Amino acid sequence: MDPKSLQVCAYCGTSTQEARYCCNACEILDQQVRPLPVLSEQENTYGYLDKDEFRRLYLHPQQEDFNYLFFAEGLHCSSCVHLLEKLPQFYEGIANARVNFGQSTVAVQLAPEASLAQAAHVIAELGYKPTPLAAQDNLAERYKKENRAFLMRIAVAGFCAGNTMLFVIPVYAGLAGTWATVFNWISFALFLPILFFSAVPFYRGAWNSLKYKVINVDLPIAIAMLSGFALSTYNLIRDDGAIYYDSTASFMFFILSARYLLKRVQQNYLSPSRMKSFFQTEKYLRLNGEESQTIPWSSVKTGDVLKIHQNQTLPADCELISDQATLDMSLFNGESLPKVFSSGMILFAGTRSLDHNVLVRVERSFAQSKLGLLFAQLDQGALQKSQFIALTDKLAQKLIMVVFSIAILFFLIYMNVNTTEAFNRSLALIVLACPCALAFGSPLTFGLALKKAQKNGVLLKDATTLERILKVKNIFFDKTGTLTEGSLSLSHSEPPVISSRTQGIILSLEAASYHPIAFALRHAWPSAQRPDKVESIQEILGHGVRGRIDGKNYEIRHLSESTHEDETAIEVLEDGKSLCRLYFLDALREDSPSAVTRLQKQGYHCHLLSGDKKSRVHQAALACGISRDNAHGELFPEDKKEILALYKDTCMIGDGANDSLSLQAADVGIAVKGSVDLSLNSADVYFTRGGLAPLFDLFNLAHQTRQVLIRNLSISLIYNSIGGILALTGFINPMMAAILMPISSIIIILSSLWGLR
Amino acid sequence: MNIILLMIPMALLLGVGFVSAFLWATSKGQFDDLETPAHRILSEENERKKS
Repeated sequence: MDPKSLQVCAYCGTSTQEARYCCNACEILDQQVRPLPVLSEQENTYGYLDKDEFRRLYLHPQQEDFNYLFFAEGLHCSSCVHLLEKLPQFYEGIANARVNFGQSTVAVQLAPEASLAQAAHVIAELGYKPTPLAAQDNLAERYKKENRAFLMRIAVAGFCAGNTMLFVIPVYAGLAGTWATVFNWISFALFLPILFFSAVPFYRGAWNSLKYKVINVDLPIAIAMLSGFALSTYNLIRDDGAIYYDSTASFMFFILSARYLLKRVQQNYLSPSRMKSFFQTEKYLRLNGEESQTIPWSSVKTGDVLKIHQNQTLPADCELISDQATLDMSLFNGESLPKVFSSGMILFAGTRSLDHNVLVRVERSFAQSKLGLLFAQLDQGALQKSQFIALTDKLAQKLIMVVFSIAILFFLIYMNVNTTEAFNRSLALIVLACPCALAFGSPLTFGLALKKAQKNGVLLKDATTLERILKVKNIFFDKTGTLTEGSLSLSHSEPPVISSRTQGIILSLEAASYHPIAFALRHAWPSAQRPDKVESIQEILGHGVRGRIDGKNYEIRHLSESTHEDETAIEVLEDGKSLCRLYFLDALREDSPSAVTRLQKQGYHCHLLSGDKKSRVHQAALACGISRDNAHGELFPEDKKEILALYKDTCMIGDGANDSLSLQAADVGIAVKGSVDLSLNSADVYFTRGGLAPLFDLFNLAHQTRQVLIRNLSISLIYNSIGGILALTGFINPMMAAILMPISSIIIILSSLWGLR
Repeated sequence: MNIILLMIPMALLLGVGFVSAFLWATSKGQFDDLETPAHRILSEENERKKS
C-alpha cells in the first residue's frame, strides 16, 4: 500500500495525498481565523463592486436576511461550508453568511455601509472565485417557491390519503349502517383538500393539454380523479354502490411524490446563473479624454472608448484603435488559434484579448453584435424546436382514446338495461384504467435515470433526451475541444532538444502572457529553471515579446501561419540570431479515434463540422476514420446549423457558445466543455468528464431506461385491462381496487429501482 | 361505542396539527436546502450567531 495514502488531513481527518491538509479551507480553518486587512478601492480587484451601479445590480431587495448572493466557484467539501459561513470573522461588515452547497452559492448579509468589494475580496482570498449574482438571474429563487408549494401539496395529499384509508378499513371489514355512512362522509371531507389544493397542477396540465390540443399524461389523471370523485359522491348520496376515495387519494399522493423526485433531480444542476451573467460580471474601463471610469457591462454604449485589458472579453462589436491586437476567437468560432487584427478592423463581441491595454471604440451594442444576434436566434429557436412526443405521452394518447371509446360505447349499450349501473360501471372503468404506470412509473424511472447519469458525469437537461438519443443515426462532432484537446501543445522543435537554459529564458519572457502558446510552453516544461532577472520586457502587440536577460537581447516572434499550414510556430532569437523554432498543434484526444471507430461499428454515421481550416479538419477526420466527404471545415455557426438540417435524427457534440446554434438545432445536443449554465441553455446534455467516454454511458443508460419504461408500461397495461374487464362486468368492488392499486404501484417502484440500480 | 365520537375528532385534529406543522416548516424554508445542513453539523462549534 502506498504510505502516502495513509496520511490524514490535520483538520478534518480525510485521507489525503497532499501534505498536511486536504484542502485550502482546512488549512485556513486550522490555523487562524482573523479579519483580513481591508483594501482600498484601488488595490482591490473587485473595487468596482462598490460603485452604485453595481451595488444596485446585485442587491436582492426582497430578501430580508441576506442582501447579496455570490456564486463561489471551488466549493467542494464540508470544510468549505464552515469556512464560508465564518465570513463574518474575516470581515466585520458581513453580519451573516449562509452557504447552499448544492448550488455553490453563499448568501451574505452586508451592513449598509460595508463594502461589497471587500466581501468579494475576502471570498477570493479564502480560495473561491466569487461571482456576484443579480436578483433577476436567480432561478433558484423561483424554484424555491415552486418546490415549497409542491411539497405542501404532497403533505396534504399524504395526510388525506392516509386518514381516508383508516376510515375505509372498517367499511371493508363489514361495517354497515349509520357509522358506515358517517365514515364515508368523513372520507369525502378528507378528499376535498386533494381536490381543491393538491391536484391543482394536474388541472393546469390538463387545461394546457386541451388548449394546445396535445394530449399529455395530466389529462387522463385529472379525468380519472374527477370521475373517481364524481362516481363516489354520486354513490354516497344515493347510499348505494362503490366508493373510491381511498384509492384515488393514495394514487394522487404517489404521483405527486414521483413528480417531485424528478423535479428536484432536474433542478439540481440548473444552477442559478444564466447565459448573460457571463458578461454581467465583467467590468470595463471607459476613457473620457484623460479620465477613466469603470463601468459595468450593461452600461457600455455605442461610441464609448474602452481600454481592454489582457484576457478580457469584448462586450460588443468594436473598432480597434490600437495599432494591433491579438484575439482569441475560440468562443466565437471555435478556432483554436488566436488571430492578429490591425487598427480600424472590427473586433467581435465575445472574443478575448490576449494583449494588454487594447483601445477600442464600441461600434454596435451587444444586442446588435454578431454574438448578440446569435443569442437572440437561440432564444427564438427554443420556441421553434420541434415538439418531441415522449413514449409515455404517445401511449397516454392511445390509452385515453381506447378507454373513453369503450366507456362511452358501454354506456350507450347498457343504458337500456340499467341506466344507473351503466353510469356506474363506465365511470369505474375510467377510474381503474387510469394509466397508472404512465402517470407515476415514468417520472420515477426518469428521476432515477437522471440521478444515475449525474453520478457518471452526464448532466441531462430533460429526461426525454434519453428517449430521443435512441433514435439518433447521425453523429456530428465539432473538432476543436471535442475531438481535440482544445488547447495547443508543443509538437516538435528545431533543434529537437531545447536546453534547460533556453527553456527558462523562453518561459520568463512569456511569464505574463495569456496566449495559448504560453500555456502550452508552461505545460511542456514544468521544471525548467528560470533566470532571475528579465530587463526591459516588452510585449509587441500581435508579434511577440522582447526582453533582456544577462546582457543579451532576446525576442520571441510568432511566425506567420502561412509558412506551416497545420501548425503554429514561434521563433526565438538571441541578439538577432535564431536560437530555435517551436511548433504547436491542437492534438487529438487519445480516445477520440477509438471512440469514433466504435460508434461507426455500431452503425452510426459520424461527421465532422468545424470552423477551423479545411486542411486541419481533413487531417483530424483521417486520424479518426471519418470519411473525407463527411468532414466540413471553415464553417460559421450558421453553416453548421444548415448542414445539420440536411440530416434526420441528428446528434451534435460540441463545446459551448460557438456551437450553441447547432447544438440546439440537433435532435440531441451534447456540450462537452465550457460553463454548465451556458451550455445547458442550448444543449440537452452536458458532460462533466472530458473525452467521449460519457457518450457510451449515455447510450447504455438510454437503453436501460427504455427497458424499464417498457416493462413498467406492460405491467400497467396488463393491470389496466384486468381492472377494466372487472369494472365492466361489474365484478369489481372498492376493496379490490384499494388492494390492486397499491400492489401495482409497489411492483412498479420495485421494477424501476431494480432496473436502474 | 360513544367514545368514538371523541376519538375521531381527536385523531383528525392530531393529523391536522402535524400537517400544519409541516406546512409551516415548509413555508419557513426548512426543506429548501437538504444538503448543506448535513455538512454544517460536522462543524465543531455548535453555537451559531443569530443575526
